[in-house]
Amino acid sequence: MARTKTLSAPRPRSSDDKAAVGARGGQTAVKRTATDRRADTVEGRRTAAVPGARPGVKKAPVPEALPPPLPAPDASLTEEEQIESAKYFPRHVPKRVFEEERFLFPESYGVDRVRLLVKDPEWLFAYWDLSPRSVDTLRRELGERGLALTRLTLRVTDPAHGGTAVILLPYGARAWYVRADAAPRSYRALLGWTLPSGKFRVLAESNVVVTPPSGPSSQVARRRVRHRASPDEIEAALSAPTDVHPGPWRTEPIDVDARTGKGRKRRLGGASDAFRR
Amino acid sequence: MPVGYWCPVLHAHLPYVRHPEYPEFLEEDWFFEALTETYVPLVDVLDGLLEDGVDYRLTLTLSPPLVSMMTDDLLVERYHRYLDRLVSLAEREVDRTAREDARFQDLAKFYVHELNRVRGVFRDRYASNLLIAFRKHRDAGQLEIITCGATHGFFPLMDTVPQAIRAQVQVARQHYEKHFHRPPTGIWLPECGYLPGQERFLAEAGLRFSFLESHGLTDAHPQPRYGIAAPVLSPGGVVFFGRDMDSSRQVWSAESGYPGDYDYREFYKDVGWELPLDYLGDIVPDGIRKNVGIKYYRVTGKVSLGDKQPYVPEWARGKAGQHAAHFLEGRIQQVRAAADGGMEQPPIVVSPYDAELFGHWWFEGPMFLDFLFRKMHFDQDVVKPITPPQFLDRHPDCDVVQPPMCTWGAKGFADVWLNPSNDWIYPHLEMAAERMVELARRFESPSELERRALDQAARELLLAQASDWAFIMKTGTTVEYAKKRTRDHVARFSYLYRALKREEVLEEPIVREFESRDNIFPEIDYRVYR
Repeated sequence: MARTKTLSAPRPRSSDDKAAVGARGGQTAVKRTATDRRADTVEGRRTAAVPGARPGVKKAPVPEALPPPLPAPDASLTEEEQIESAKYFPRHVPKRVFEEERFLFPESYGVDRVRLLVKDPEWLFAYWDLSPRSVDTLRRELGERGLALTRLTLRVTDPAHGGTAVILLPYGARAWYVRADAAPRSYRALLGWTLPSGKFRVLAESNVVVTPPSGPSSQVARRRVRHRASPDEIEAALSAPTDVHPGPWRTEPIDVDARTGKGRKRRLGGASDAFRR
Repeated sequence: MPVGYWCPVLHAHLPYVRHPEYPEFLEEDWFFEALTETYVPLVDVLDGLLEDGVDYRLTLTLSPPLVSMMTDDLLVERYHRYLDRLVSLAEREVDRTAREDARFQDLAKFYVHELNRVRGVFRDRYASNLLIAFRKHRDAGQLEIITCGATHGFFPLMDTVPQAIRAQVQVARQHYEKHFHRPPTGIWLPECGYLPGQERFLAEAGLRFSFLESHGLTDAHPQPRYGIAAPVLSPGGVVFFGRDMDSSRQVWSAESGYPGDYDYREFYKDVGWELPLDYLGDIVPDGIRKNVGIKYYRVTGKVSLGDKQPYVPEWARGKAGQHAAHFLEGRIQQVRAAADGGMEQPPIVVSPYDAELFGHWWFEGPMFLDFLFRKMHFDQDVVKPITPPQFLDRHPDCDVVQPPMCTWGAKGFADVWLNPSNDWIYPHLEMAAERMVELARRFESPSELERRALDQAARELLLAQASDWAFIMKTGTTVEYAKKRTRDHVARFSYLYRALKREEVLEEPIVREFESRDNIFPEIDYRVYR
């Protein structure tokens, strides 16, 4: 709920609701102290979980051997400093056989791939992976100079009605928010290299996504069926897909500066600096 | 026959938070708070209605993680400890207020009484297992319990690996059958998230109905004739009911909704933030201040926390009654207006809420529901409560339409779960899902240890997919914890994947540790990902 399931305040369900919740939250929200903020860190919770770390707090039962005695708190320290210092106390923690803290999310899974997700009627989210092998292959083929002049590129097309947005990506980008057309469309992305010659070489092709409409259909349902109707009955009652043809997707190429990440010629189909990671 | 129907839906869900590796863990309080302030009071209200012969009808999602926590021995034991500490604090408050501030002594006694009532309902009436209560009301024909995604995965962003959505649905169905002794007939789509075509996974699992945000119906193709006043049938054969915004706003909105009334209890002013830590004692065992649920002030008005006035339970109770009457009048007018439009069947108004709004956020919420169901039963015949299956039994015909992508999040799409604060998780979740499918296909006859590792890999993937983590990253509440959970589950999954592919040694103690920490879905079968 308000949490959302973090149980703190009601969660917004619409833009209106969100504003309302914010208004009340802003009006009455309790400010945590610096000490309290420690609750928001994993390390803080661990520190706090050290049995006996605070004077006056009942010690929690410890399942195995008792921890070594802890040093008495230094009375000259503030309460916050005493808590802070507790993290340096010898700890009695369960023996670990696996340390998740050492895990780092991989930069690459070693495959060439690109995926599209629909964020809302106006924005798509593209993310991709680029294998080191592909870069090495290109380097062998073109040399370092040729590689430097090559741009990783996202070409987003409407496979049903035509039109392509070409986005020359900045170095190191792993994901991009792509501006969609105002009309509902289907989209597919191609990830590839734009070579110094201007030729586009495909590395990977994405799934196809469809943006939702942002208003009601012009057609009204005319036929009702039982809710336990057979697939054939449902099929027969289905209206034909909307016959509104949006026409080709009109876009212009976007060249995102490799250093600043800022795009030029921003038009429909371009990338969003606002959302660029 | 009434002029129309009201279909209240409470979505009860919390992420699976269970940390046996620590004697106390702050985030486990989410579950304990919700039990104390929402689930147990709700059961108590339903018991009273049943006992008094009130023909209430309620649809309740009990998400698989929530059901798992309700039946977990460790968490139940820790809840007893939590509740005992809270009762003890309330009792000390009676003494303290007598000495220091007599204005609040009656309120302190009020909390002693309320908390003892909660403890009595939970511990004595239902033997520490609320599922007994929910099954009782279900068997009485007045409560429709539905399921949810296995770990509340957000389906619209899982579409690139369909097997992952299928697993969320199938595992949830199996879990429901285990705990409720029959298959579910309906499902709450996590975050009300839907993409066209995804209902095929629901239909395959025998799930006949679900719910969509209102624009899931109003923007469907073709337009349903009755908007959200009647359910629709999707091409995949699943019925969708549309969320009514008017009745939702009356409860959701803190500004214009009932919970913001000046006589209701103020959520943010809690003794956990105000009394000395040494006095609070073991209710804050880690020395970190938090809401403990004892609050002495009312909303009062648009004033600072320091200017809040004392809470008066009798005033709040009076307001809950007035608001119940106001809400009922609104539904009466709503169904009359819809019926006057020339419908072939009585209209239905569907009002879904997070269950935890009632009681936890809106302290008087359970009381409001109590008044509302009683007024609806005794005072009028225009609008009556109903559940989706009962409505479909009486009015089985539906328009066939294709709903569009929709969610019940801000702006109605995926913005909350896909934005720069959380978009980095999706490449890793998708890769883990693909790898899980790969493992499920590769291992036909695994050894016993391999089978355990495969089943655990499925659990880790499911837990990583909970939409709660992305939501928390967006809202900024306990972001580090959400990131930690995402990292921990992906880390464990990655180890199991590599070990099963013999890129690392598959060590039984590691598998055992994962099993003990992430023990959700003990009967899971990794082949669900095939």
